[in-house]
Amino acid sequence: MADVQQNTPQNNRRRPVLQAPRIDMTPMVDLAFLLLTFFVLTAELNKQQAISMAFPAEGPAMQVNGMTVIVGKNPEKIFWYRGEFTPGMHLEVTTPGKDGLRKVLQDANRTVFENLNVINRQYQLGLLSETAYNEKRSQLSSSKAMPFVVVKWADDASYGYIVDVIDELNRTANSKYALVKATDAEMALIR
Amino acid sequence: MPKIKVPRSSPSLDMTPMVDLAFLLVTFFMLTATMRTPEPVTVDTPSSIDAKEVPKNTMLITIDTLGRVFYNIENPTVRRIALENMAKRFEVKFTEEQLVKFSNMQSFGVSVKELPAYIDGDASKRKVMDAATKGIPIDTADQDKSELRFWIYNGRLEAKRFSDENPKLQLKPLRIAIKADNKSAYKKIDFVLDEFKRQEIFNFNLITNLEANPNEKKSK
Repeated sequence: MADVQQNTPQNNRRRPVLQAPRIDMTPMVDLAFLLLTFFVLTAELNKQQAISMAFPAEGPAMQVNGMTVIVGKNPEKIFWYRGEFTPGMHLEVTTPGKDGLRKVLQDANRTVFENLNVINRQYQLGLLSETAYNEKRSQLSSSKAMPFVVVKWADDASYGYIVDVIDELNRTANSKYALVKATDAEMALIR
Repeated sequence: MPKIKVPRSSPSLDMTPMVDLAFLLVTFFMLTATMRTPEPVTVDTPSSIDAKEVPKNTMLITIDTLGRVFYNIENPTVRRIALENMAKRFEVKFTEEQLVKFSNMQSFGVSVKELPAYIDGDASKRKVMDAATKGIPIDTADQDKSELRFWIYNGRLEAKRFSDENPKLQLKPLRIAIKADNKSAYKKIDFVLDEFKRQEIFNFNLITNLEANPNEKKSK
């Protein structure tokens, strides 16, 4: 199969034209596609990404329009409340994802979120220069209208759930948050 | 019945362009393939939409499902000097050969005392040690015994020194990244974050997978 086939001399007796010997390339093609398949399959499909985190240098200062989200053992139940904690208070319950937590966070951060969408659109349409856009963005990210969200975690919360909450905060353009351990009183309420 | 002449030989096909293409693609995939760095533990990271590519020049702290901590710093020179500092501090002797070998290693999760055996061991020995280890020791009660603390400290110190001494390389400042499993208890990650706070590391990265479709609800 893999031999080099010379042209038979009978055909060329009259006109001995020099022709390149024909090479059977099937094995080479086999090998090439084998390697190709291997590299395509081993190519890293999901490239690793990273979220940037920034912690406030000092402990989170409670703010008037603050909001607390508590993540416990059950990933389907996320508790939250506004303002300050009072023992025995009623905690709102929501679910993770688009219709639950994201909606809650989006409502809380509506002004900033909508303004950000407006300037994003203006920037895409070319109505805003890059410097003006960046300036407005940084103004928005330090806006007073943005609630300070304290993400509290219970002892048995998994890392994945916390990252989900951080992800929702990023989606709703909220950059003011802190991670804090849930207090015993709060733990008692989410049991 | 007239005989139909069946051509004996199969029609010969000029495969040259196909081969050209196949090898071109092979070359492309070979060159773009980055070797997956062997890791002592498999970690299933959570997914997120807000994501940037993992920065270069990182110090990576991996936390697996059991809450064990693994440490890695990319730059071989920095690794080596960091180990020398650690050896002095925890009074463990390393041979020159071990130092060289260590500088080319990847993530590890054993205490400094176990490191010489870990460095000398072959792949299967390391696998056994990785399975048995408790991770890099974190001592919350006695800070002077917390090896993770000194690994982070030395890594940052030497990375800074290295980039100061080699301004031509124009290295980006060292980034610190945490790679933890979906199922790791957040409590364990908080130990590491506490250490970050103590060393005034307020900016760091969490390694995640890019979520496939940002508009759809996550399926867990």
